[in-house]
Amino acid sequence: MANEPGNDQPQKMIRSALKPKQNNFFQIVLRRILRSNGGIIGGGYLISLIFAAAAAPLLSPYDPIKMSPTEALQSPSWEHLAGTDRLGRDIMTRILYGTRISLQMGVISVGIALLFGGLLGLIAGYFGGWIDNATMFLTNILLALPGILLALVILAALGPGLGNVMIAVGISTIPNYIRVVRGSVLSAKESDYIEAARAIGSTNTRIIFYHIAPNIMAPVIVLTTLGFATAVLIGASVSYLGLGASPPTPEWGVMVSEGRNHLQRAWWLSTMPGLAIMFTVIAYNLLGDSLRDALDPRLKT
Amino acid sequence: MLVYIQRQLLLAIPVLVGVSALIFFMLSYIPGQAPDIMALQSGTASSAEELERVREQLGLNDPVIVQYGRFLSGALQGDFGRSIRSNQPVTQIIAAAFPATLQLAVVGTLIAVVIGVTLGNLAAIFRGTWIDTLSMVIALVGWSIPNFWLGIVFILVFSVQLGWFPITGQGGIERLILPSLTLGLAGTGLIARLVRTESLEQLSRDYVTTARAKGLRESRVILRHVFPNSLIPVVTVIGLQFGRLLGGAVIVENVFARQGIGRIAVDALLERDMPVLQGATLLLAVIFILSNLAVDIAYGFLDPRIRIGQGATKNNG
Repeated sequence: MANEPGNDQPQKMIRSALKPKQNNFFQIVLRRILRSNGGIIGGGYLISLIFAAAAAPLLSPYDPIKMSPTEALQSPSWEHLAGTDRLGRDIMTRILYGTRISLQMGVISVGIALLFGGLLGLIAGYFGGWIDNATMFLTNILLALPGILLALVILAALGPGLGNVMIAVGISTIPNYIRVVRGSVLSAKESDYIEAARAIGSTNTRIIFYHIAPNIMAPVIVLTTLGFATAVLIGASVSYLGLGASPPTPEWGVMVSEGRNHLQRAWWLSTMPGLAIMFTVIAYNLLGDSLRDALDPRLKT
Repeated sequence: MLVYIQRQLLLAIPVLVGVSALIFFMLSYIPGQAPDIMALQSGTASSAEELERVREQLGLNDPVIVQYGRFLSGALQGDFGRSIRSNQPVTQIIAAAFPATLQLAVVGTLIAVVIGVTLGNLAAIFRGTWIDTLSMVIALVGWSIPNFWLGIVFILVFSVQLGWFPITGQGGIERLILPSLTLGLAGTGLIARLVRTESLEQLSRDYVTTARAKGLRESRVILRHVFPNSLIPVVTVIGLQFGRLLGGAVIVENVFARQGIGRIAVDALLERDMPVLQGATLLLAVIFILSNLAVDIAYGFLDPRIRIGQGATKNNG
């Protein structure tokens, strides 16, 4: 699914090495992403998703929550692109408003995981010794529970609710970030420039945040993008189970669950919001893959 | 080899203890605690003193570390306490549900491996063609599809429309097919990609050129030489996938209304029946740890370098 690197790659790399780095690096990455099908499809879809979330009231004439019983359970038509539900609400509209929750879910839970996982990974990898051992022991314990189960246990402690789901998904994915960041730090800290920084008397804090952190960005960016996919998936699953958002909320997992009892009469109830979840997760995965190829061609699968 | 297995087993013990502590502490400080619910149900909690008496009786006034010690020693003897709802021993509830989950996870894993390996090999053999693209698209979709929704779509198509399978419940193979297919398809993505990479790697090796130069038919080169070698990395992912599938079983069991561990865990969570939730999650964690252990040991068999004590290099292998 990844395309072959262009023939002008080596020249570009030399050029990028000669010129000031920052600007060029992002340009190159962006160009590589735009050259891959996955990057264009995934990125394009996600941009329109953000647009849909922001402009939902402009895009749809209907209200996502207000009921209109006279229009209940209509199959998809030009009037109601994805049909209407038991209470006569337009499903397409509810899906549109659901993008807001889905994006929120991604940003908050990935934010939590990245912040804590990143910090712990940096500290464990950099200082090593007992700090590293203790962190990795905790990480292994957290990893011994399958992801969604860990989220459920945390959710049991926090109590149900959409906000708590975001926190629970965030915490449950922290170990992934610790592992990746720590691994990258371990190899980065052996570099000459770290030794140089130490030689001129830089403090540990400065070395960690000014020298190591920027240099391990590539795998972290990829992990973060793919983390959005996981977050949306687990978040919707937990809401489906009835532990997240509660019914009037236009959350995709809840919508699928609401349709579960009307499969015989109205197939579109569960099908449509499920498609929204799937496309969104695919888009994050495509973008993540294309970012991986763009940031580090050696990692290409 | 025996030394290697012993070491891996010993390394797993602290993790097991850690997981049990994690689960115990997370689930012991919860609003709407056990004694209140219990007392309400039995109707004995007429006064604060009564409630206090129940707490005392259950040992909930002891320091938490003492409580954990009691929980752990009970757990080691197979005693996880009694359900708050039904007053049945947790061990009994879990034992009754376990076969359904095991069935689901094992068949799901098999499906994931068979489909994943097929897709991965097809993609590698027909690299760059539409077959490759199609296989990788299927892998991506399988990886991205929400389990609970796929299950519903299967019910919609195969049970409601075509009437081939019963909608829910358990017992009999016709009730196992849809759930395990739902579960298995999620696992195909990673396996397919890994097998594709490995197969491509193998196809470029010298022994393949030699086999071709000998005049072997291409089908034989692939089936006899490339295929078996492409299976080695699958062993690693199976351990990881098995855990992922156990997590997925939690969802799938709920969609198909199968009385497995996952269903029990979610019900216990909704009803705040903490002893049952503790027992169920701990069991799933133990299975996950043991399956990873099995992978490590299988790796020791497959790659002699690992068991001769270079444990540190095994991740690069």
